[in-house]
Amino acid sequence: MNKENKIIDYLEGQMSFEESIKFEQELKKDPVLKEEFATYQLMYNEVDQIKLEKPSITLKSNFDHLLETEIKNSRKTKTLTFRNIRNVAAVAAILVIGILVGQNWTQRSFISKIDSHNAELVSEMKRNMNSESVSGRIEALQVSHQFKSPENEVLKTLIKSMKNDESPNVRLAAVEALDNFAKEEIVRTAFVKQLSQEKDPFVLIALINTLSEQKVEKAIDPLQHITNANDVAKFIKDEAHMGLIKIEKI
Amino acid sequence: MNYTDEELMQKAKAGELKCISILFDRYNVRLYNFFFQQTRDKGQSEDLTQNVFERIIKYRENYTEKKNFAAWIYAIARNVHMDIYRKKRFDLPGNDKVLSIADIPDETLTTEEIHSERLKIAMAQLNQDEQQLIWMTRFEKMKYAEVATVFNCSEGAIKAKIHRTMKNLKEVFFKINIDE
Repeated sequence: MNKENKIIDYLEGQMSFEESIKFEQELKKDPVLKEEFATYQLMYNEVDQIKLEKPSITLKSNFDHLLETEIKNSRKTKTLTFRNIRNVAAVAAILVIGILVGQNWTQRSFISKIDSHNAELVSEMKRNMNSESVSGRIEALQVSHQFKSPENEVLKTLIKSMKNDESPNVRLAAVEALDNFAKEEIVRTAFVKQLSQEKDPFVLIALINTLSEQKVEKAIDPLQHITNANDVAKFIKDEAHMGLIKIEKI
Repeated sequence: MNYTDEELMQKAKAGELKCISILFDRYNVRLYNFFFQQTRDKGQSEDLTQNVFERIIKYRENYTEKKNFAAWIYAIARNVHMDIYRKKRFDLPGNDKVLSIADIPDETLTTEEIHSERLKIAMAQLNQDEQQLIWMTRFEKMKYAEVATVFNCSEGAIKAKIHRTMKNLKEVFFKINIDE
């Protein structure tokens, strides 16, 4: 182990008793080590003298209020008797049976209605994407929030906006809309590609957050590239670093 | 009777919620300062501390007796900090709120105070992980193995990170002194 590491382990109190004794003996014999040790000790002394700040009394009173509320709520939960639970269960069972029977009757017509509604939404969205105003295009993108499952056409439109729209606000809105479908491979791949091309810090950070939240391993290389780049702001590098921690669990 | 943190958390999990109040008394100042070192913002540090205790109350069922309480609470604190940091995007931790060396009014401060300000500047140049590592090992006196639990990585990885962090800190701290 190098000498500096030994000094740090000693001052951190991470050595065993035997290791500490051995290190102290080395310290006596080695003047270079002794000198290096003195500089570290000076710095450690400074670190240990950092004064602790006191939080305001509001913190305690807020916490007391929070705890009291939780205690009251947990008492209420306990007052649910077996009889109550039995009644609730019976009502729930009747409702479930009713829903199942009704669902079978209405399922077919419901699906066809959804299909035609979705098609209308997609064409409306595509039409409005040609709007000249930024707010008009953002509004168009927001239509995608009405889709619970990913429609291919919707994803393609969103990805196109994220890649090509000249306004960073529209690109950011596209990233946020795509975030709802971030489990889709096509979306993840588009995010990773965009990570290397995007220049706007807001959009870049949104991409980093989404990719790290989803633990997309393909993003590791571009994220590492960001952390090492010279022309990237420190706060973006920090965000990329935190993203890597989330993905790699380092 | 003086219960350990782990025993108190077990009791809270079993329904004795008042035990969390004792844990609050033991940890609130420590957590507040953990956040304050990184944000330099008193209000935000209080909010973050409150948030940690909200999560402890909410997720008390997830606590298992095998978990070291300090490591558990700091893992929560790291998540809380990361969440806020992500949500706010550009309202970054308060390194910008630390004075630069030129701003330190040498005439009015004692030597100790000047050293302390220099250390703040040096600390502010470390990244979030490095600041948190120093807090856990120096102030919480946590062992590398415990810190490894918080960071969800191996003890060896933490050891290497600490070595790197303290070398960085030393380099910056003494550079500031020389540049004076």
